[in-house]
Amino acid sequence: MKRRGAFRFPWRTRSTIGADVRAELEFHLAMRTDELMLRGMSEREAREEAEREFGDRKFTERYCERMDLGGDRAERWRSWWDGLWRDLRVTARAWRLHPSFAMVVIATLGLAVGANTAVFGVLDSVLLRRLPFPRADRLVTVDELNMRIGLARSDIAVAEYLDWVARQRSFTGIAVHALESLTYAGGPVPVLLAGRKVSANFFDVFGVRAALGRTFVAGEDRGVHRVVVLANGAWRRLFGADPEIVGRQIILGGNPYTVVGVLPPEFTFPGLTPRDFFVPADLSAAMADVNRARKFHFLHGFARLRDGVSVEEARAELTGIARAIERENPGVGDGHLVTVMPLEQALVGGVRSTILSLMGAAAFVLLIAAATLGNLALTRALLRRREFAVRAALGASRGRLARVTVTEGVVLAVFGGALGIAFARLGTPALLSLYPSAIPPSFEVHVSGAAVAFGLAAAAGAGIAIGLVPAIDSARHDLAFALGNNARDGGFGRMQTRARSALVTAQIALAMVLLVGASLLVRTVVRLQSLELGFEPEHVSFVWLPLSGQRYREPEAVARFWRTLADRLRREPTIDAAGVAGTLPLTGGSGASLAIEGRPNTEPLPEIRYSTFSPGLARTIGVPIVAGRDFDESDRAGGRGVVLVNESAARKFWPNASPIGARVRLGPDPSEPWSEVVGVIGDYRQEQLDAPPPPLAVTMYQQDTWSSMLITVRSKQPPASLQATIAGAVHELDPALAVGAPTRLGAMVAGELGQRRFATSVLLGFGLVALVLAVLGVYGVVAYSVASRQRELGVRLALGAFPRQLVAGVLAYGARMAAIGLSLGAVAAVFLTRFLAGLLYEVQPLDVATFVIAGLVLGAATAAACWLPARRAAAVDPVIAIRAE
Amino acid sequence: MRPAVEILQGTVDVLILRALAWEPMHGYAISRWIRERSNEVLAVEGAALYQGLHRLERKRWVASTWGASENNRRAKFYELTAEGRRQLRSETTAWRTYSSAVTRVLEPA
Repeated sequence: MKRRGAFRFPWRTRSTIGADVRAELEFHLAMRTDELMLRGMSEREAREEAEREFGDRKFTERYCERMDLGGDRAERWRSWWDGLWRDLRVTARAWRLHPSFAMVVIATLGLAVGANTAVFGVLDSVLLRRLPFPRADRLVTVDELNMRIGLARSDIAVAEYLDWVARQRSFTGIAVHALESLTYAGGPVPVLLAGRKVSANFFDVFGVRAALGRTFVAGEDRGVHRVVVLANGAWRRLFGADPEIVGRQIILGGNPYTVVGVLPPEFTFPGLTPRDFFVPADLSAAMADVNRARKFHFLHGFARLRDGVSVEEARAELTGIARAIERENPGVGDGHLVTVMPLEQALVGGVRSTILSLMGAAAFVLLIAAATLGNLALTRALLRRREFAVRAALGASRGRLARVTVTEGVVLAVFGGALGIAFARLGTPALLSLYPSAIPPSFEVHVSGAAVAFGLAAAAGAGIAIGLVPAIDSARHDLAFALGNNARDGGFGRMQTRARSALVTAQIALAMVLLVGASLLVRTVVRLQSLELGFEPEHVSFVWLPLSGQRYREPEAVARFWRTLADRLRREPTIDAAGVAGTLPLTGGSGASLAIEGRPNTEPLPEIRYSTFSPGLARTIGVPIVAGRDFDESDRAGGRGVVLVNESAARKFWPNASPIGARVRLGPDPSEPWSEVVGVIGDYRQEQLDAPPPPLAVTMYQQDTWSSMLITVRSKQPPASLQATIAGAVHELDPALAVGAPTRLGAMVAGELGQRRFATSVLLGFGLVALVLAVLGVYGVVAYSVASRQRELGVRLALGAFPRQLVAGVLAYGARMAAIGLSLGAVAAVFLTRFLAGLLYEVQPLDVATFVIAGLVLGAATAAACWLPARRAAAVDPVIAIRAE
Repeated sequence: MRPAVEILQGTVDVLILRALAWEPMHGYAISRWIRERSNEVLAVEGAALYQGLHRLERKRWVASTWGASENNRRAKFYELTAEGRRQLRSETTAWRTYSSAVTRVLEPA
């Protein structure tokens, strides 16, 4: 009786089990029948007796079948686990012997998965998140489309807004807001809080209810209502989450405000800086001044579309209303149309295309990595052909062999994926901290669960693919042949070589696309950084200081404050130059209408950007006086009005003469006296770095008093002590004012470029990775080709070929792959670079020079990769090659 | 044939194991062996026997293979596994303990 082990193979189907059981029971009955017949019974009697003796046959059959099925299933599981364990041990042993394969695969997977997970994390955090408002897809932004200064999202005037509200039917509500900063004096030191003044329906439009107390009620935006709604963060930070806060009075900007509500923590505007408080805007006061009601633009709007109304229809309706307003107010309303945009688009805006481009690039890196891994897998499959042949001869099925390699692939994928996710988790915050302005503020980017899942899925896919390649390969070839001595070469190598060459060509093509994209961005950034700014940001810092409260009601008091402060700061030994300005480059701008004496000055008046400076401020920020003179302190308040203009204004409004001595009036009030242009300052870039400097007029700070200005200093002091110095000077004059941390102008300039520089760095990184992988790929394929043809090369040398002919052959092989790859890559790049168009500056997406350079770099790298194997080909010793196996 | 004594399920199992301790047998041979060994007192009917055999196989205490019987019929042979042997030892010990305890209790004073 031969004994068999516990290994059950193959598995039985249900019907087989049933048949087996019935046969077994039938045998028993037959035996018993025979025995009974021996005792003298007839066959029929014996059979009946045997069946009666047996018992419940039906039940027994079912019972036995059930047992057997369960047993088979359990056996299957056990065998599977054993096999898995065995495969893992085999894998571990293989890696101990040849660690380089595993290391390269894990490193490559780590890079590719890490890149994809990181970018997907950004995508998920920024583009895929939902706004925290009910039915947020009905929310839109409403701004003025200002045709005169060419700004798509310009500020709205109060009268304009109220007209829209009265006449529109597309929205369930339009709300407006403007920025407001007030000093809060309730803590140990006065603190400047950033907030908004809003229309009474602001929170209703968004559908936000207060977490404590209430939001605003209708009518609180007409007349003076000193009520305030706090943001959740401010409530926690400043008031310790006091549950009794509603109804208390707090001092803001020198005035008592009653807290009527606290907002829930989810109410943030992703994409806009967080604000601490909300107060109602006083729309009646703005309407009371006829001049300002329609001409002073400072509001931005949000609205909620009615059901069934599309963004386009709303925009068309408001544009119609705007044109009606134009007709009713000839000259004033001209060129003020409407922009309506979905809220999500407005918040995310330009960064969407950046993120999508990066996602595309990351996908490319993944593809390149997949090609590399595919090649590695094919190589390894070749090396293991003999091993698989032996296994197959010993009885392993194809599926069994596949499982070995797939197991290995999955283990590699797990390690590689884990490494990649670790990269992504650590690297993403680090990278973003280098480029803080890359993503719109208050988007919290973290590598979310979705991103991790994405990364794991990518890794798993790669791992299984790697595992299947050798299995497919071994399935295709006659393994018995592989057992022979010719396992290394032979005709089977050719198909494999073609597959590998194709993969490498694909890698080169993908790398080409990435390099072209990266080069375009690099050129853009270089161009932007060498832009003529027109000012010198080095060592210049500024602090924004609003003056509010009883003391600063009169313009003279404000003017005196600024003058004393400027003097005081100039006396500080650590400060090289100081002054105050209304606006600085990149801090946003103001516009005013311009009338010139002696000209017709019919409405509509031209608009000009404008600011106000103290004497010497131009020099402080490095802007030259190109004609005339700067302000000085002899230009007093109440004296003859003086104004500076920039070169751009001079060219536009006085094309044939010098503007010095011309008299102008800025602003809507025709009763204002004329001011004289005393100097021309150099052009400098104002609100945007990549737009040419617009015309600018600058008034003298003593004559045009702004109650909030930018204290500007040039100093080599570090920021912390600089803040102390400035705060000290301010508090000497008024201890109740809050002084925030100074902002470095240089940082603002760098920040402007932030998004582009971020995208450039990332794309450049991807491009370099792609280059390295492609080079490695070329090297691998060419080196293998040379190594596997040793005998052939040796024979050719022995027959008299020159070494350099062999070298040429190898190089030609590499060059062919490179040529096809570069061409394919260039064609693909032609189609794909248009997606970068939004980021480029003065560089065309189809810039020929960039394509050529990228191609040359990649071509040179490929050539270098071929060089070593080519030399080895030439160095083959024919005798050894022919003799060896 | 004298009527057989009712046998409990657990006992059937241990009897089967004991039968197989000698040598691999098919189901009919096991029932014959038990009958002979018990002097015709115990007769395991077919239903209980085969339920027991398959149950034991599920527990991996016995293993089965198809083979040829002594008269060349196709029959399923069972044999003890190492685990089955261990089980037989412990069950035998437990049975001995149990039966001697019952005997002691039933003894008059």
